Amino acid sequence: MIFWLLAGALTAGVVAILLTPLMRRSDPAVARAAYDQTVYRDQLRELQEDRRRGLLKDSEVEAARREIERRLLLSDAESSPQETAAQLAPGAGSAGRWLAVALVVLLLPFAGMGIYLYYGSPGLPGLSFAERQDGSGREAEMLVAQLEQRLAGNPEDAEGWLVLARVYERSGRYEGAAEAYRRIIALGRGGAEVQASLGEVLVAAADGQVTRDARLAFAAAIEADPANPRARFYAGLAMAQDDRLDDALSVWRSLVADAPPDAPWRAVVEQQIANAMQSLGQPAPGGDSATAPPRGPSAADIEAMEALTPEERADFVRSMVEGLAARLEEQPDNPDGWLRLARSYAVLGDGEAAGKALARAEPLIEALPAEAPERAGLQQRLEALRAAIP
Amino acid sequence: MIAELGHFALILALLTAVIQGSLPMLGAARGRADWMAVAQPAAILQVVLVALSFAALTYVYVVSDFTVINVVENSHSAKPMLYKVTGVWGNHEGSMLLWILILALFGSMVALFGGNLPPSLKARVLGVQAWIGIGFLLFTLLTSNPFLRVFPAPPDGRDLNPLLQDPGLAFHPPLLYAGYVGFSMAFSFAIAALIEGKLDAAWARWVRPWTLLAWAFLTAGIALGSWWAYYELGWGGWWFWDPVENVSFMPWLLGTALLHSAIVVEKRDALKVWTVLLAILTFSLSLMGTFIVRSGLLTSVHAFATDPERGFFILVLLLITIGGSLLLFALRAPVLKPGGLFSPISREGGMVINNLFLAAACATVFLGTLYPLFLEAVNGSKVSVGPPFFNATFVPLMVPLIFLMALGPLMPWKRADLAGVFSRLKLAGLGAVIAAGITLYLEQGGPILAVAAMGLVGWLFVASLVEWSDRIKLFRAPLGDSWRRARNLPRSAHGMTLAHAGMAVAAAGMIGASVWNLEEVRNLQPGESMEVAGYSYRLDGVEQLEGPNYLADRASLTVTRDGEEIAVLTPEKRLYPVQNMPTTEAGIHTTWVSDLYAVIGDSDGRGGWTVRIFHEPLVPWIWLGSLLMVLGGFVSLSDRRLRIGAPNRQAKAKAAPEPESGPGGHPAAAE
Repeated sequence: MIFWLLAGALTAGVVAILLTPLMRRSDPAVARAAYDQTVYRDQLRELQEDRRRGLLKDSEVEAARREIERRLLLSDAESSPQETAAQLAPGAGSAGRWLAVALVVLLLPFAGMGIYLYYGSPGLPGLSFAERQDGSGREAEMLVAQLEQRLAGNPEDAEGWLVLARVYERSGRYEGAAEAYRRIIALGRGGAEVQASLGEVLVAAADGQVTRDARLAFAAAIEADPANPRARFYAGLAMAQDDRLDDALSVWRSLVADAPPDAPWRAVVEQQIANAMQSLGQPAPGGDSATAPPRGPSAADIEAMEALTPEERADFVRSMVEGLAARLEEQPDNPDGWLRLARSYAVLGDGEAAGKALARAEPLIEALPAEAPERAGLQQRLEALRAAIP
Repeated sequence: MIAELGHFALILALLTAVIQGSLPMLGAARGRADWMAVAQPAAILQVVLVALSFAALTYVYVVSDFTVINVVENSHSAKPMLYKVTGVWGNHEGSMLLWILILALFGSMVALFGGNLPPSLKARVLGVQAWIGIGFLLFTLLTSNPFLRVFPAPPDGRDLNPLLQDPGLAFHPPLLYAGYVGFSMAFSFAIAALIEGKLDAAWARWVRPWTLLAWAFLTAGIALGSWWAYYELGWGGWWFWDPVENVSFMPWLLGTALLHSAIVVEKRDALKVWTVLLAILTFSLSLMGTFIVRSGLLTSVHAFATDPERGFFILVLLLITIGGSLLLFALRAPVLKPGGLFSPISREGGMVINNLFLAAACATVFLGTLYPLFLEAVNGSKVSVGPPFFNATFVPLMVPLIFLMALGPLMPWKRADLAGVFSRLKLAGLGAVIAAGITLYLEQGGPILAVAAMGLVGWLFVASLVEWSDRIKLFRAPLGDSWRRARNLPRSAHGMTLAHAGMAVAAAGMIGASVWNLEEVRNLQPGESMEVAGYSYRLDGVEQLEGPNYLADRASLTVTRDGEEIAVLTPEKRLYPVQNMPTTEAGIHTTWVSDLYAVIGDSDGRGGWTVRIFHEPLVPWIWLGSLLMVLGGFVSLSDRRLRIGAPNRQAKAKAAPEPESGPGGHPAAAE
């Protein structure tokens, strides 16, 4: 706003100054020849001065004087009356004057605005290096403003909405984020991840309560991708908030079982499981080997892995997979374990071993009671792996 | 917001230029005083608006606002403040803005001090200035806009080319541009005169000082540029006949010719048409100098095509300006009345010869610079035209020029007596012999041509002083009398002597540097020394240090002569990590007769370092002479006679006064 005020004031000032000579009654013009004569007379004066200083000989002065005077006379003869009259016209015809005024008054503001709007970025404030460093969040504000502006012009831009939703979410503006996620869904671009994110910001907006709208969003996410960990986690949370702790536990446990070893959210889910078990009066996990998830690599293992070369890393992974296979041979009644083993083999490119592991998992899943909560999930993973293994 | 205001002000400047280029021109054609009067405020508004814009760009550079693309591309947050500011014009877009700012400044000078110009001439001159401005403003806004923005902003900038991170950048481009743009005044006056069909007496009086100013700036700009190359590139050379140097040298050669022919127009009302042509060509070469350097055209025709939009715009702009003005010249030059007559042997005749030699020299440089380009464009073959070409063509043209330069000032206007002139130059002949003799003695022989060249330079130097001392009757009248005469002598006479003598000094430097220059490369361990031209250079050691945005190896070399310590040189080799570019900083000690110049190279990994020593005799004289020339220009500019008053309105409303009224009684004469 301040920019437009300043730009307007600048334009007005320029127009006003340009108009002054047009609005003023001009002075009577001086005949053309008079300017020449001034110069010649000046030259004559210099000549006298040079002679007085002794720079020129008298004969030279005389010759030069004659030449200048001849020019002077010539210029006097040239300034004929007509020429003088033409030169003297001080802006005859007021039509011409108004034409000029109109040109100035119209050209500057309109063309100026037009060119500026084409090339300029009027809405974009400056951002000095110091402002970016001081942590005032000014850059994020500008980012939001820019995205909002872009989306106002092109509301079909799903990626823009996604970025906006993320930025809103990070700055705690959950309602805005939910609105942005809904836009993406309305554009037909919402997958499981977007639905889950929508549910998550709704939960955050409701101070952690999994509201009805949030449940619908998670349901939609699971519908799109039954393995979506975030949706499954919140589904469990919804059950827990409905005092269905056992159901919640089984959902979370299957989630942990499916979790990639290095999933960052793993600890959160395990914490929830521990809390739920405590509420149920059960002992903390770890004692019950049947329900406890097979252990993944420890933090020390991961650290060790990062120091390895790619070949060593592959060997390390292989040794871990072999460890898992050995444990499963000892306690084969673990469909989830077999599925994980199958996926590990698949990742290592060993399709045959993966197929064998799947074949071990299949009867175990068949043997589960039809109403067992984990059955559907295991079944789906089985199908997915079978499709993925050549 | 500051950047946007700068952008907006630049657009307003363009539109003001459109008004300034149209209304006053039409007003002058139709005799409308009110339309013509618009030129004056418009020209002053131009400078205000462009200055605002320039200040805005400077601001975003100073605060490192990386939402401005130009800042991202040419700055870095860790760059020292000096280079943040000079970086404003250390890039294509910003330098265009500087160009426009200087153009607007010159235009406003006409508006402010042009009271003695006939109104229609003034309106037309400002109109032509506005046309030039429109061309440059359009070019800048459409193809080289420094105010384009980007958001989200990159984390940091890409830094300025390290070669440009030097105090030289603060002065070299502004001076060079002031020179280039200064010639726009002569150009605008020439075009305005062609349109008017009349060369007024005031015309030459205006053209000469502005040409002088432009010439002085250009001389300073070129000299600084060559000095900068000398100490920053670390090659020990001061002039490489590089295309980029040549394009700045061409307007200097023609501008020098223009400077002299404008004197003839002023004093004798002769050579008018030629002077107009020179004004057009000089500015045309300035335009080429401005554009070609940055368009990449000179490095390769193909580089030019990498930015076709910009290249095309440049081509069209050059075509319109140069082609249009030459066409106008062809059509209108016959209208200009020829002026005073003179015999071939006279001061005027001398100026004509001077002009011919300078124009021929300029043509030589033009050919040598553009021919390879032309050839590459036509059949793709690459030829290199380097120093051998210029030594064989340019230098022979300079010899007679310098010889005759001594004669010109001694010849009177209209008709001269050659025998008399030579008789006054006996002393100069002696000077030539002495200079050659000293050279022979000092160099124990040396190339005979170089000795002769030193003699020629001695001739010019002494002749310049002879003319001056004759005029003040030095040693022939009591000293007090001479002092009084010197004070009475017009400043322009002092200026001429300074400039001509400066030319001799600079020429001596150039000869010395190219003939007796020594270069020696050795691998030195710390503690070891090498001997060059009687000086011993001992490598004391190399230390690593960290600058604000670079890392450097700095060597310390102690220079001794006959066991006596002369200086400690500290050449550096720097690495700028952002652009990953190394630069050299030469260590230079000047004795005023020669330069001791050291460059540090790479380490051999076993404690030894490559050390390159140049012994550069007389090199400092090049810049000393240039300084004298520039000084001469400014002394001449301060001549009060260049200022004339405006005609008095009351007096002129009646009939013009009698010519016999005499010079003394003129009321509006300027002081």
